[in-house]
Amino acid sequence: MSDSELYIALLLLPALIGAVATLLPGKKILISRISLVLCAVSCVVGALSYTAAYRLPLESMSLDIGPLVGGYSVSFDSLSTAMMSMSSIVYLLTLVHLLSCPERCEKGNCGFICLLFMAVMLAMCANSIILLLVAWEMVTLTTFLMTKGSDEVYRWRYFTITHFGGLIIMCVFGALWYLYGTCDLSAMTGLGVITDGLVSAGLILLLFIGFGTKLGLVPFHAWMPDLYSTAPVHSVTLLSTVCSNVAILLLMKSTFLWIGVPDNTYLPIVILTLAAFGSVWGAMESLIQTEPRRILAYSSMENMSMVILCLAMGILFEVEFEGDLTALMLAAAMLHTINHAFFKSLMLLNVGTIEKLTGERNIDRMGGLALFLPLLSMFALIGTLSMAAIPPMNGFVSEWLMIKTVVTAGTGTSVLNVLLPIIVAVLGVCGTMAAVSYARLYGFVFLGRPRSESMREARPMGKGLSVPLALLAAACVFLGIFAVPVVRKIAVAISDTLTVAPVDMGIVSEALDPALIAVVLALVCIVLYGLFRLFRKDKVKVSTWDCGTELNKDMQYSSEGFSQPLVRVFHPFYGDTAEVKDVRGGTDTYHIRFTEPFIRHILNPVGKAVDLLSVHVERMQSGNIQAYLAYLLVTLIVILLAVRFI
Amino acid sequence: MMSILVSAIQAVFLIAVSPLITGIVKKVKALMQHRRGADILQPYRDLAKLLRKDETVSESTSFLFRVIPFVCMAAMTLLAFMTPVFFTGILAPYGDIVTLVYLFTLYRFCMVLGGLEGGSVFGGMGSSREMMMSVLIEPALLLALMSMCVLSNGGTDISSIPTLLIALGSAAFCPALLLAAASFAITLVAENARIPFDNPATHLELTMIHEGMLLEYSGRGLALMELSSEMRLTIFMTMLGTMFFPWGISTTLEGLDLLVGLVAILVKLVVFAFLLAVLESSISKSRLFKTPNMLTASFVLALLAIISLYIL
Repeated sequence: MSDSELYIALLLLPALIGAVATLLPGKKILISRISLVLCAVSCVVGALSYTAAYRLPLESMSLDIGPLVGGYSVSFDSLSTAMMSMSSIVYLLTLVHLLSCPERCEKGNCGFICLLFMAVMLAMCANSIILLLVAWEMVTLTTFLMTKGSDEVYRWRYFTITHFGGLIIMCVFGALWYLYGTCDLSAMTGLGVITDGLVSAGLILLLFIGFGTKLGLVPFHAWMPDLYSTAPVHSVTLLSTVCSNVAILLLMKSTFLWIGVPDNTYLPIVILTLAAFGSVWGAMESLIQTEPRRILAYSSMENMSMVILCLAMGILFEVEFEGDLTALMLAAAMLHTINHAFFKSLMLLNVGTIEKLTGERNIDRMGGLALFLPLLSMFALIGTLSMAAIPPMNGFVSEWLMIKTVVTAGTGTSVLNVLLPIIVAVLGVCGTMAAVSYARLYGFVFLGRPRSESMREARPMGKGLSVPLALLAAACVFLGIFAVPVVRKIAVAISDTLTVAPVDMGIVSEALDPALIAVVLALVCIVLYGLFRLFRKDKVKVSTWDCGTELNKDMQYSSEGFSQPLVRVFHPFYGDTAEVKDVRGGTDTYHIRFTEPFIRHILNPVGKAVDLLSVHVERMQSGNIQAYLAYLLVTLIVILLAVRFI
Repeated sequence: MMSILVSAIQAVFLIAVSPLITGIVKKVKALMQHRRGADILQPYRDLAKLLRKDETVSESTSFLFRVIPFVCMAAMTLLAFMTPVFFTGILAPYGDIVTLVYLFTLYRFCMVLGGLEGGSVFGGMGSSREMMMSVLIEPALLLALMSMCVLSNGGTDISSIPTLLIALGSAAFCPALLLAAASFAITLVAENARIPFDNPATHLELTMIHEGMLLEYSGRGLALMELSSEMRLTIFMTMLGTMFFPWGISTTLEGLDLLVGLVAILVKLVVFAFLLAVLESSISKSRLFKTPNMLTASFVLALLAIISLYIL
């Protein structure tokens, strides 16, 4: 048995055994714990994949099934293994968090978690089209099954939209198989010599749409907020982080390696427009949500659209700007994907912990948690600062890298330079707007005074819950402070794996030193604090200044009020879509819901058209067996004729 | 070694001179209103007084409230270290133009979180309004600085912009420079909570933004917050004086050049302070929902600046 075979066995077998074990009858809790631990073993092995790929080194291998189908082969390049390692770490920490929530550990759910891990790993290292498509479908199916407990409508919406995407992906890879004449992905190194650029451009665009259904590209994000707010929190965490990682990795590899960037300027501009629209929309929508999970759902959409924007910029750089900066832009995309996985899992698990400890889901009933759960509030603060791209956290570095690359490209000479300031503006606007949304999230959950009794009665947080959160928070800080070496590694992986020119790392290392920023920041704080300690003054604790009246829990700013000025400024974009509902039937309680224009103007009409069509199609279904036989006959004749003459 | 020393001196100079600039603005405003006004050194006395006082803190604030003044001060110190004042070299090359914008974001984000602490209505209101303005301010700031990078054609390095602009000579006086400077000037007024965007002189008024967020601070915390917001004003003015109109700044370590640079930046700062005071005295504070129009104007100016560089 070779090293590579041993490694892949260690990677997949524990998870597989864990999945099978959940089928055993017996004690629920025990079995599900065992399966989660087995899956955790797989995660640890997966986390080592980046190192293993260098040290062993891992070779590609295949399991031959037959001449018709080709082989189920896998290969380990540095880009995939980097993503596998990072995803495994996030997966592992989510599992640890899940282990300390016994009420969530159902046998079925745990089995699916094991399966999802296998699917994710296989999709990342797949080297044959068949394996890739099977793994991708497995990812979609297991995540769908893991959302049990959410409203059926939301689940099926997710199922339908992502399967629409899956179908497109299948078609594109089918076309690739046809064009290359093989399903071996390592043999695909660019369609440039085989067909003209228009075909590649079309395939790439379709792939962006296909994977975009999972990533929340407009208008395919319709499933996200509802599913995020109702499904089990661990499933949502894995869906939002690990599954997005897979989609971005596959998108990157298929665009820049398997299909190859065609010499077409319109393609990146179309994708750019979609992604820019999506990121601004995600940021805007997250501002008006009243549930932390929904805020995070739109934030996922915003972040992933930003990554897609980077990929599109990468294509544009390759086509128009001589390709010097392509790898840097892709590194920014990759880094942001990884960072997103860490801070988003931190925040989602945080929100899950709050729900578990207080039972509240609505931001308007939270507040002041920093006083009752100080440790949790520390972790949430780190996550919030990372998401809001505050230096020296990890989110800052990836956003910095995006803007920096675009600005650097701006000093070049090209006709399309005019696009660059607009991209900077889009990144700036959605970055700040998202920051507003996260300030709101943290401020109204953890700061202020409690808006309901359940905040005061919050149960203490156990070790099992805090350890994974602490590790994720540490990862956010670490990836921020030591970002430059991380960027270097990623850039090397990108230029090794994809067909792009290597990065000039000087652009990054000479311009940014997050470690030094952190040191100076900490030093100034410590010196000032020390001075203040040295010349001590009294500190008096009083209640918040109240203008002479007794402050009750509602006499503070509300989260809706907080975002109201921005909603008013950007009102034309939100559209007049608010439905005001009188919930109690009384007089004073209103429930405002914004219906997104995409749903009203794009998805709903499509749904209605399908309904209408199915009414007409239904007429063909007479229930008469002769009629069906006639249909069969006609179809057969048409196919035979087609085969004969084409 | 010499260059590090000079850079350190200029950072200290920037911090030390900040309250003075605020004092000058206040004095000129008072004179314009036919008042005698306080001495221009008054801000120093205010800070000294605040530092001597005990602190009163709301009981419903968390640890964050105590940390925020330090972090705000540290953010401004970081920015002071990376702004050229009278010499083009900077002390700490840990960031570039983009980092600079994000450090301002760090400061603003902390202040906003501080406003939400304690659950006071005024704090929440100030935070909410500050965030509304920031969404329009930050992209404009990014674009204005990006157009300076493109104009000087030297990447995003802070210290190279003044040098390269001076080297360009009269060619630097192009529409882009003026447009970008105009955009930056609007940003300066908005970001530093000045009329017509905000009124720095009032408390307890429903128009306030910046002061609303500081309402819960007292004693030393307030001193740090006040000093850091004075530093913010000075850093913005210095940036206008060294990155957009760098003439006069010393590019060498010669004693005479440094002296000229020092005089030049002092003159520029006083002129900007005077202009700011005149602006504040001659127009009224505008309604909150009118400010986005002006901020959008600043955004469009910056966009035009950079596009004019590509097209002209």
